[in-house]
Amino acid sequence: MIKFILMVNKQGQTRLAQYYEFLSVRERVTLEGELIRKCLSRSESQCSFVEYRDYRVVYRRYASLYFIVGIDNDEDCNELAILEFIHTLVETLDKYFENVCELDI
Amino acid sequence: MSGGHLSKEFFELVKSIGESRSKQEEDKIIVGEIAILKQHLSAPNISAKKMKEYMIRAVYAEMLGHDASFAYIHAVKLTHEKNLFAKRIGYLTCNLFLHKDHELMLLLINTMQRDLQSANHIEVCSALASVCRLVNLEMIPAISPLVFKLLSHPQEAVRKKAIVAVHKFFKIVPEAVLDQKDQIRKVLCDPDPSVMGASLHVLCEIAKAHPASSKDLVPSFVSILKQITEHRLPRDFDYHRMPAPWLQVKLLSILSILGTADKAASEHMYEILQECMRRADSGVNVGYAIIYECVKCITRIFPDHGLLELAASNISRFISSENHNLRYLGVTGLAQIVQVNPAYAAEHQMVVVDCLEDPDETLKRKTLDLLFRMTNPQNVVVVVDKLTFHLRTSVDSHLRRDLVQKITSLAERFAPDNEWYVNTMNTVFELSGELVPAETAYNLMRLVAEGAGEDESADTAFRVFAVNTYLKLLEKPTLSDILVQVIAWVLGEYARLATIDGYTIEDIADLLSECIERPFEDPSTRGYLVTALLKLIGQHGLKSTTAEDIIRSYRSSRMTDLQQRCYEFEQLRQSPALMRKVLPYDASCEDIAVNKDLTFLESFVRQKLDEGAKPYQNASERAARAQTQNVPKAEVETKPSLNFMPYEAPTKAPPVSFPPAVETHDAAGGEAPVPTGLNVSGPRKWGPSGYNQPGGKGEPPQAPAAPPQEKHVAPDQGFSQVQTSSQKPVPKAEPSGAMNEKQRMAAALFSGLGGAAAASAPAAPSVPKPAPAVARAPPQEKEAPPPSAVDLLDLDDGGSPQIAQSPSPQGGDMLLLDMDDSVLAQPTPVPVPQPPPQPVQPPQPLLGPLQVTTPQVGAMWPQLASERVVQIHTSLGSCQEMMFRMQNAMNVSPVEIIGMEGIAAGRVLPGNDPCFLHGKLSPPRLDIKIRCRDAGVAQNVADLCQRALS
Repeated sequence: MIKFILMVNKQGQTRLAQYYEFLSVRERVTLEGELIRKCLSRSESQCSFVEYRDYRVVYRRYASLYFIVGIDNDEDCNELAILEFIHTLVETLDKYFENVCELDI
Repeated sequence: MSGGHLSKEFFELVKSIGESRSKQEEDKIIVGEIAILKQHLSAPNISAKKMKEYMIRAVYAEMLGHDASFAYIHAVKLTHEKNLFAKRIGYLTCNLFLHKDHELMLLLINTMQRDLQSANHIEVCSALASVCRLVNLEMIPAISPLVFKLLSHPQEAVRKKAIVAVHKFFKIVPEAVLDQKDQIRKVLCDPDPSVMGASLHVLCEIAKAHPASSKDLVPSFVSILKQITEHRLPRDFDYHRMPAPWLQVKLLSILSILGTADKAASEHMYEILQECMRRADSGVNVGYAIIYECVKCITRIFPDHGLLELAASNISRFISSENHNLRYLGVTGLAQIVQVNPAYAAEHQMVVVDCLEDPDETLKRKTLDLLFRMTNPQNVVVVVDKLTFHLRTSVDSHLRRDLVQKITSLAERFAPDNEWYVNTMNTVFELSGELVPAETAYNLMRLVAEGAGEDESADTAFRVFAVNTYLKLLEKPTLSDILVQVIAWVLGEYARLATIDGYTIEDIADLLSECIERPFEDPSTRGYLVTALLKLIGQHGLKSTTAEDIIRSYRSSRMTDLQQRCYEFEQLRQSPALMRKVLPYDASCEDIAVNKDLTFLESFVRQKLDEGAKPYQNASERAARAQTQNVPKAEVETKPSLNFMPYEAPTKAPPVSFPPAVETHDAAGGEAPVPTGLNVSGPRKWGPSGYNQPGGKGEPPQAPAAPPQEKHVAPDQGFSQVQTSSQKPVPKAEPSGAMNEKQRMAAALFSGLGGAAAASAPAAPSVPKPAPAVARAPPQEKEAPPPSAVDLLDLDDGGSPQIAQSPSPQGGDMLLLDMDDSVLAQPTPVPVPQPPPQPVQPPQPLLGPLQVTTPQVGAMWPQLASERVVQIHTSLGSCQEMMFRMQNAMNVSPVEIIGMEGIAAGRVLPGNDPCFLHGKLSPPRLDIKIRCRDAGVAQNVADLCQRALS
């Protein structure tokens, strides 16, 4: 189950956030902050999956924008499928809006 | 985002946010924006169009991490609008602002209900979207009938949203949805693939919760998967030329649930799995995702040799890939394959060692997980070393908790010898004591107390080792609470064994008393230390003024437990002889004789009776009396629970009723030890057999090249081939003169995997264990009552030890009274009122079965007026046997078996009056209590029991 989808840029500014379970505004802010720091600290040569709190987090970078998806942390999840899901999301956005870039979002 | 419909204000806002260079700058802009919005919203008569925009701006502010709760009520109001656009925005903003328990939800329910029945499908969709997000327990009855009706709506978008809403219902109250299962199954056959896809999620949840009831869907799922792989879906569903990959993944995960341990269901899947993997292998990522899902499925369903081979070969491609994501999948996939057959791991030892050294944290974690799963008696030391290293270096509390759990579990399962176990546990306690469950510490203490139970001198040597280790540890300035507790207990018991130069008993006592002053998180830790001092002083007649001063100073502690211990110390100190008796040396695992009849109280009772006190009535008698008399006051008095509170005389108790350490209960009561008794430490055979076997001694770690032969047992016969092939790489790691570091590590980690590997599979407990070190049974440990806890902490329960040790009551007060008997090996007879002789009734169907649960029995028991107690000399040996006999001969249904007690329930024929039977077996004696409404029936049942159960 997908718990949240975030789009955060390298400066730590959230461009888009969608949560599928309720978190208070304060919790969201800390979560986003910690996550983007974690993602930024990882290099290209590391895999795109991180365990964070009790989420399994899959992220993907497009230029300076990180797409971050949080899912249940259990055996059932398929990280690679989520990674590809992010890519379809981006492809869809691109198709629909034609040439999306961070500022549009 | 740019367009004519936006006001200039909003456009400027978006632009300035977009251009802001830092988070701080952005925050400043939003704070200003919120002030403007508040001002706007407080103005009267805002047009719907303006309101829409304000809402979007509020959402924007909230998304950027600022509170916009002032706008919530306006969002709810917007849903009432006639205008379709305004309504949609209203719902969408509600979705974002509110949560299911928000107070404004009440205002939304009515609107939702109305919109769900609207003729305009866009309104229905908006409302459904909100249902998915916001529905709560109270709303389901009001909303769900409407939603189920929408499952057959002509618009596929509506059907899709409706099935997602049903999924949400299922997560909140599964029962509400299960009634409508047929309707949900129909959705699986929906002509629109996207609706069918949406239904998979709820079906997956249902399958997870009730696998048996979904088995008949396996062929449907298989055929859907087949159609998808054969490109039968519209091209719109393709992604990178892979047909509907996410649907495939979901279907595979459902299949893996349904095929678990079900050969028939699994056989349906073998073919499609193979086909699916073949077609997915087109070199794109999403194809790998499908392959990975297939691998997961293969490892979970009933194993098929060919498929496992295929899975393993795919995983080995992943794991040796340059792509880090694939490597990650390789390691996780391998961890799953290893559970089926550990031999596969051996092929990849070098890669695994590489991954362990990888700078990538995630990969490292997964590798540790893999190592955990392939641990066996031969490599346990190395694996635990690795885990401990990461525990030392990691700061993430989730990871640490996980590691602690893994290390303790491995140490308890595979410890090669006791010293290693103690050292490992000490390290864990030291590194993260706060994360260790208390039970682990008790296990450790019990091991020290009981030793291996085979060789007394080895046990003593081991104790000496433990005492010395802990003495040295005590010198460290900071120790975790749980470690201090263990140290205090071990030193309190065995301080005299210390062999380190320069440490006398006095020094140890001083060290312990110093330790009391340290800050602790758990207040009971001080209690442990005080008791340890108490024991030392008691056993050695020590005069340590520092210790006494400290103990005195804690008499005024706010912890009552600590207070009590200190006062006890004061009392005991006045009579050193008694003290020695109360606190004997090395008696923590002696059996304790408890005089169950409390005969030593008889004279007291008689005296009181002579003085006119009421005779004692047991709980059921009291309850019966309360029922018949119906005197409210008496009822209050006879609440059975009141009698068990050991609250009286908390401080200055005379030494006789003094709550001593349990082991000396009889001594305190002035009773000669009775040969049988309450075994507080648990019988020896239940002891930590897990650690007892000094396995490491007799059998040095197997060289990987010479694995024992017969040990390879796999769930399927087909594995023998695999075994031989997978052994081949092992000799590579054979120690030759020039073996580099990594190879050495690999050899150590993978030792025993080639042949003896099967033994390490935790999922297969039936596998014969190769080395003696494996002959341990951790599950049994759990079954044992937590005796060490009693040993250490029972001070305030001393007054009523039997009750204190009984397991938590499950079946009402009658069980509470009887439960402790089950712990007794051979209880002394209890005076039981013999039933008056009555004419034997001819056998007839007296009872019928009655399905109830133990709590129900507990609740109904006191309401039944008649009770008969029968004592039967029986040939039955086990409770199961007894229940079986009851079921056959008396036509009652079994309710529960607790230890050597069993409860059965029947209904009195003709009619529905309940009749309960409670049997307590202590061969060759069987006590049966019968409870029902009518005295005659009770007697008849009693006679029946006499005949049936002798």
